[in-house]
Amino acid sequence: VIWAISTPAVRAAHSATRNIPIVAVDFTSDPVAERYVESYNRPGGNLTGVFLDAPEFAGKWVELLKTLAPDLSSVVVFYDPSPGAAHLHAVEAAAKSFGVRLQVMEVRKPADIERAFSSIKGRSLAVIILPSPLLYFHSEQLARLSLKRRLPATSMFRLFGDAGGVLVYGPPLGLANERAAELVAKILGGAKPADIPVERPTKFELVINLKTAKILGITIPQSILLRADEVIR
Amino acid sequence: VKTWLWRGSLFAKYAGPLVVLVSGGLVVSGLVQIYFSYQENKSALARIQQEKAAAAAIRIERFVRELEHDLAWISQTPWGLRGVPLGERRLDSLRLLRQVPAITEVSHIDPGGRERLRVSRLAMDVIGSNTDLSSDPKFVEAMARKTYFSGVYFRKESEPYITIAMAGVGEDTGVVVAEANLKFIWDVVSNLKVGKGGNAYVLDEQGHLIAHPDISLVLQKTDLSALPQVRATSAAIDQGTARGPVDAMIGKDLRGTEVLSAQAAITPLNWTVFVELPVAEAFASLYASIWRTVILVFVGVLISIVASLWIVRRMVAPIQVLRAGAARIGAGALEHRIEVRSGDELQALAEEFNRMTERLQESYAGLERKVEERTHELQIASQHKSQFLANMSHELRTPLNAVLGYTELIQDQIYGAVPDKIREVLDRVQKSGRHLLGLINDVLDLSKIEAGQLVLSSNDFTFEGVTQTAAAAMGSLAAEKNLHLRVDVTPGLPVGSGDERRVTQVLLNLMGNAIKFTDAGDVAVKVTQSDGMFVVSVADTGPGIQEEDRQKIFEEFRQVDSSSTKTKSGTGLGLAIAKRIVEMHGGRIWVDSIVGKGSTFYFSIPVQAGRPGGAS
Repeated sequence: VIWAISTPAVRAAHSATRNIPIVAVDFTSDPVAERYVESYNRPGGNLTGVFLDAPEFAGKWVELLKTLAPDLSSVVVFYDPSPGAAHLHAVEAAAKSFGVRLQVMEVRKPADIERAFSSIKGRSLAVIILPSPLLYFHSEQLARLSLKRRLPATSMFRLFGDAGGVLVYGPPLGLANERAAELVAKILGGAKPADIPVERPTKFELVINLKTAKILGITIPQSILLRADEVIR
Repeated sequence: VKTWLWRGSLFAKYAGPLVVLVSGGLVVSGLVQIYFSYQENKSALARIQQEKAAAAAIRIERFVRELEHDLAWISQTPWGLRGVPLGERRLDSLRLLRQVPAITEVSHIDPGGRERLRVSRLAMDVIGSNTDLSSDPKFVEAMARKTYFSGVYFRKESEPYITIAMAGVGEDTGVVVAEANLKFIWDVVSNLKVGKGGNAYVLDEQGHLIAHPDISLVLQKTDLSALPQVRATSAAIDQGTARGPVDAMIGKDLRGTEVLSAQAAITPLNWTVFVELPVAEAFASLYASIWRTVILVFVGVLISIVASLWIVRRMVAPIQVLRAGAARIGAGALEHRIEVRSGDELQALAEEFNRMTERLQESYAGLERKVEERTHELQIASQHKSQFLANMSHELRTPLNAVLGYTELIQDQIYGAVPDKIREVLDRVQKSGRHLLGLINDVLDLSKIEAGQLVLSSNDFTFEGVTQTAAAAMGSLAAEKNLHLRVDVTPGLPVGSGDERRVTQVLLNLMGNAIKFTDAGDVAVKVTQSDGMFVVSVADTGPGIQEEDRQKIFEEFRQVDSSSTKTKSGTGLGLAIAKRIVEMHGGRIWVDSIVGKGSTFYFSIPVQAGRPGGAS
């Protein structure tokens, strides 16, 4: 069994084999559109797993940042093209509906991060880190640099919040991996991935880092505090 | 041991019925117990399953009721002039989403049927879309009935969702609609523990799976309406039977395994929760108890068989001992005593038997003693008689000798001349006297032998001497009858030891008989040695002796036929005396004879009969 976590990994695994069962954890792709599976309830191939498949979800980050900083004028998006542009498009649409400008920073290699930060312009800014393995693994650097620039930043992953990101909203990766592990166990127990329905995360977690908010001098509005699942103090 | 097993034996008679009776009782009681415990267990199991299903239904219902309750609270917010600002409604909705993870989306519809606010976990919140929903069933139904549950629908063809709409009760209240992800019932359902291999699941009205511990089955929209227990339930509903519990029944799961299935209705939604337990597991304890009972009955039967055999054996064994003992005593073993230590009537019987045997033995012993005493008395009497005879013979002989002596003196003309006529008479007197003397001598000898007074002397002798003496004595007799007397002694015979006079007497007797009974021919005496014995034979050419008479002639006072006694005279004691003498020497006497041709008398005596170690 191949256990592929992240969109590029799933894509690579799927292009590599049509025989070895693959259990995917992918928060970006639409598995049907990507032809990974025939349908959610009957994948029909060698791949199954946990897919978020909700591109509009990225809009929530813009919405949250706008709530956090009502005078937000521009959002800096760190974008790694490797997982695909679905989230970027959602962010663009959301920004448009809120009347917020967008600065898209393409990050293809770690060195790009520092350069991107130095090229940020303007005031009343906020940062959105779109999900990608590269950006995930540089959560700490991204959080540190955001904090250095005194920019509120948000991402999908809890790791970013722990590293100092002020806001995190998304399905917990840990829970998705737990489900994936169960699917792996099922396949090892003899089940065929073709018969195991694709699952979607059911839980969405909102984490607020109050320490960072304090440093940034931001008061977290009640509407966000209300739904926070966890507050880092 | 084998005698215990014959068909007619006590053992077979009592052990068989005893074993059958005890084992039969055990088996019947075991069967009755199994039957009742089976029935009781089955209904108890069904009841337990029923209760589990009811409990599961209550938990799922509570899940739905809580959703309802949470929505009801928000739905009371009025619209219009006294209405609450949208911002606050949004906060309320966010709070709801925070509290109820199953709800993914909440929308608010004003009393006019327009959607004013939509708050979602996944998509951006929409404020004031004003979409017209006034004819949407969720609005219409909720306004009419306060609460509306949609059917289950699947997002992305996989995730089960339900729409719950609630209308407020006050004036100017609209409808709040929530989309609830039913995957959250999964937590409820998978936390239901139904034995080891059992599970619970929830079906909607159409028989589609809404919740199951294996979420994949739900996501695949599995249709279970064909399962027997589901069919039975929907049949009951169709017939208008109250949606109360249908009895627990044996159904099948998706894999076709037989399961004990119970169900309970979740009333507000027309869902049914099924609780199933594989039959094998459900009845495992029942089967175990049946097995236990079977084993116990089996062990009981074994024990009862062993015990019955033991008891019967205990009863039969002493009887066997009694029987065997009685048989031995019956066969004459009066000293035998029957050993029974059973401590009961059988032992008493054995003791009676022993007492009886003892008395029998005592009277038997007394009888023997009496016989012995009487025999002894008779022997003494016989000895007295012999003594008397011996004495009498002696007393008879003395006057007879005087008669003979004086007769001889007269014949010798000592007392003057004797005329011829008187001489003849005297000859007869002399002859009769001598005959009488012979008789008396014989009687004397026999009496002495019988009285045990005849003692053999021991001296050395040769058979040449013995035969010469006998031939000389018998020569004239043989010559008188013109018989040819032959004597043949094997040369080189050893010197014998014994009573020469008595051995000579035996030979004389045999020769005398032979001459006496033979009218023509010869009498042959022969002496040989064989195996340390002298064997002497006296053969004649007389009339012979009948086979049946050959033993009788050695008895006292017997001659072959009484007629011959008259003509041949003789006491009839000669052979009896000869036999005694030979036997006293440790020898033997016997006769061979061919009737009409003659007889041969033999006797044998040990060469060293007179020596110590020889015959007495």
